[in-house]
Amino acid sequence: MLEQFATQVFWIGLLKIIGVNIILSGDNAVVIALAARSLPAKQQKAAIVWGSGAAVVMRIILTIFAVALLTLPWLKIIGSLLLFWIGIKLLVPEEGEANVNASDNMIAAIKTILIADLVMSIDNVIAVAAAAQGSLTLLILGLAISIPLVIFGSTLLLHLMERWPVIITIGGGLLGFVAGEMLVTDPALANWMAGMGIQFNDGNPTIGEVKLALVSGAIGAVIVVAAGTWLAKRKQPEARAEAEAEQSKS
Amino acid sequence: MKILIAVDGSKNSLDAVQCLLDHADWYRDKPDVLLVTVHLPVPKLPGMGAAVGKNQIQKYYEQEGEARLAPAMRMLEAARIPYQTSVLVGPIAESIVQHAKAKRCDLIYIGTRGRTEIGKAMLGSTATKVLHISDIPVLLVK
Repeated sequence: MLEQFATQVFWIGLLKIIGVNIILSGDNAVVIALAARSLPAKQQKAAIVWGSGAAVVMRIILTIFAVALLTLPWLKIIGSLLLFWIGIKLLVPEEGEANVNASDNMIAAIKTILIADLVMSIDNVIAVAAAAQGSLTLLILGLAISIPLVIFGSTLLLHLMERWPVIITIGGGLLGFVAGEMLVTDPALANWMAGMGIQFNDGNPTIGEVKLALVSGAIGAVIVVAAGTWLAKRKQPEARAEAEAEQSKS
Repeated sequence: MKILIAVDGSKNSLDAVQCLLDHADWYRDKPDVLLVTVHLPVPKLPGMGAAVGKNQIQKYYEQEGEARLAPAMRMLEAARIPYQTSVLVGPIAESIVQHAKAKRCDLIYIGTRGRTEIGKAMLGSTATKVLHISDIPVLLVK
């Protein structure tokens, strides 16, 4: 157990989980900070605590399931593709729905926080499960770090993301990295890769001295950031026209 | 004389307001003041639309913006200078200049030391950017 802490792999793993969590809890935090705002001040704290409390419990259960599922063949490939998609989507700005009304009752606000968390934490669950690479220590530490962030830091995170939108790009890159890593470590590919002349070291595919997971992780990060920024740029002229129309209205 | 004053809620940014109050006798009539603050847009994340509506985000901008304007409003009220307020949303310098142009202001007052003093050293401050892109005279208050 103690030896685990001393290895480079452990620290890289932990940094990865923390990074993934900060970014991927960011979107949940934004929703929590905004959803609670329409409540009277007294109920805001209660809604945040109950909403995030329930969300955290849900998140832990889902992540434990995800860890178990990821040991099955093919599921890492599916999860990896899902993460690629989520990562690219993260980088393309999305218009808010106009028909969601601010709710001034607490139950509705908690429901909003929970639904948002369920929708928005799929990425978080898969990425954390993948980054933990089967280590329960990493998993628990990673989740323990994300919980206070979501509960207490929601407004702070929102402000940080407003000021430095590049945080979101980094998050997308991180998702791409984890997705790339996950893709090549799927057990279903092991035989095929062995046939290609790739060697296995403790079950990790390696080319020469380099771990294949690192290479494909880096490629994955580049793919997500490149595809995401390209799509965002293509979408931008529309968004700008819309913003201008809105400004002339006011 | 129509003057736009930009504040960001920080103590430093109130220097611009104080400067206007100190030198109100520069102007023949009481100046017509537009007090503005700019809020950076909320990041648009996937799935957010399911939980947070446009009017909720709008309300967030207004609440935050009003809190930032409040100290400057108190100063102007105490000096009995009439003013209008607006909370703009967008990139800070561009929004200030655009608003000043749209409202046909004669002068922009802005403090050089705002909220992002550390960021300024690396990126160039909001005030410098306003100075660069504005066609309207800009008064920098140090």
